[in-house]
Amino acid sequence: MSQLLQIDNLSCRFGETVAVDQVSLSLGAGEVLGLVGESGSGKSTLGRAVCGLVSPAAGRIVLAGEVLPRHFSARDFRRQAARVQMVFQDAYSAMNPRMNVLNSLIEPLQLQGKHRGQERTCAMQWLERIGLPRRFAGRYPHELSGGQRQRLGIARAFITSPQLVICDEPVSALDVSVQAQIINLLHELQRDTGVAMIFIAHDLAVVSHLANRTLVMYHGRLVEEGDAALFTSPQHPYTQALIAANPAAGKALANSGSLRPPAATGCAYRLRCPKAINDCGQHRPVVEEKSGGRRVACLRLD
Amino acid sequence: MSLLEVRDLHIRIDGHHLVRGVDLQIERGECLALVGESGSGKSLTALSLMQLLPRHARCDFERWQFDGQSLLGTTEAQWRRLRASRIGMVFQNPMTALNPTMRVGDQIGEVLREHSRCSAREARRHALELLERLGIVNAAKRARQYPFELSGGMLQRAVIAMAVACKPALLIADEPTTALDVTVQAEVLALLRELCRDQHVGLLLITHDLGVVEAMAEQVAVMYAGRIVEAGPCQAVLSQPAHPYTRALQQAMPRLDDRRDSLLAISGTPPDLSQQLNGCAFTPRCERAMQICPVRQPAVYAPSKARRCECWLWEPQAQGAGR
Repeated sequence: MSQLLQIDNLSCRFGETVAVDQVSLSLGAGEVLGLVGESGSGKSTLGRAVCGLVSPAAGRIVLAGEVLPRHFSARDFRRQAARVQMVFQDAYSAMNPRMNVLNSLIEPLQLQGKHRGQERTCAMQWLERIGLPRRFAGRYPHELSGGQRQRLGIARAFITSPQLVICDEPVSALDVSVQAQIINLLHELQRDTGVAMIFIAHDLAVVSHLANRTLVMYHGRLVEEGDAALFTSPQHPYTQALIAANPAAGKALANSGSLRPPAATGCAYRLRCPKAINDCGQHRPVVEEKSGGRRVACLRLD
Repeated sequence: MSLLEVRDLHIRIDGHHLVRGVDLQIERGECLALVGESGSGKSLTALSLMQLLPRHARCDFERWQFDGQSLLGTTEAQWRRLRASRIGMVFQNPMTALNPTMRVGDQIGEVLREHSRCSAREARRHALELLERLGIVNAAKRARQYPFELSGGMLQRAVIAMAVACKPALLIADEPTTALDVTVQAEVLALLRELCRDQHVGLLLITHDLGVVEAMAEQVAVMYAGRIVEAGPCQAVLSQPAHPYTRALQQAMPRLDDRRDSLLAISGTPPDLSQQLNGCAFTPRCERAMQICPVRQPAVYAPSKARRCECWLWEPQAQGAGR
């Protein structure tokens, strides 16, 4: 698998707030990377930084061998849009309410000059591909259900054949039955087009279905990364807490001390961590490589 | 005698028949989970139990017993005394449930003063106690803050504090954790669970998450298009669902312990309730639909003890159709 995306020590700040704190990761072509964490963990900011929607404060992002500029010009944005696309949580606010389904699909093609002269045919093909009847072509976003809108949002992202699609909580606003339809659609499209994907979600079960590899973030930092084994043998206490919090039968509901704020020094998770010792307050744990492609940032590993 | 018993509840809004004959029964100290997709009528059902439906909504009960007395014909003045003191409610979004211009502690105190005629000082002290009990660190400082200064998990705890301040006998929680992180969700659910058991409160928990149901409820009722299609003891229903819809919901839910390649999605969408429905509303999406299904409303069957299911597959004649 060739390397598509490489992020080195990326930090993003909003004023005093550090949203992303020295995160490094890599993504191969055609790979699906899951990004999980609580709200405020910086997962969306990381995704937006890759699109150029957030300017990093430090670190660098390399996409297809090219270092991305810190601040995007209009031209940079156009170039980036051809390579990286996004699917948003709220598909309705991501669309122009005055543009019908067909034109919403034609617009990205025209902007990028793809399938010139064939835009309409291509748009109709995609309509079918995402499972919307042809008669929907003339409808407006408000006439679609939540699931149909998200299908359209997905088609808009995939239609220009980008190399990387970033999905930011694409199914969290949907009902279980529709959620399954959308997850299956994303899975199918990813497999058929071979596009690389960053899948951001707070629901671990959803991520575990789609991702080859998953990265867990806490307070802007990477705490653990691993393949499917991450869900069965989590090593970082925070990953363990996230998995334990998933409600299921016969399991006591866990208290992970979410009311305690992240620590300012040392390990950010230490105030909530059942394994924390004095040392955890002294140094910020470094991300260490373990066997099986696992990366963990914790002093207290066995 | 049950804490709450509702029979044949109907809600109509602008000619749309949105809740079409719902029966509910909740025992003291027990949790009943009401599960369904958006638009299935579960929130309307909850609001009707507090008489908080919009004014143009029409709601009819055949029977409505609460704590040994009938609530049919209760006046608005009586309702003002019942709400919060006997029946408490926790809403989905704590940010919109709280007054943004009022300090959190004062809002909790307001409920107490309204219903128990205690002094402002006593109310403040009691509000603090409640916040502390719900696990809020530095409660004195938090009580003086405004809603925007608190995190989602803290706000939902404040809303729960308001709902239980007057020790109600019944607590209605409408998707109380949908807006929260999983870790916070687990903590808030554990709190609700504890309150129910300790204070012998009946809990009506509305959710769309079967995982939450499994972790919380003794009884479950599955709602589809305004009707309860299956109900019974939680463990029995979820381990052996009798209705195709319950089974489909389960199979559509991604799980950590069972990572299949693709999820079994339910095709189609719920029916349009502005139209008259004749047979079973789930027919167009049901894999096992038979000829009779779109024509006649299924009878109520008892697949096993204490369970009920509205599906023609349980008709003895349909046994061959393979449940």
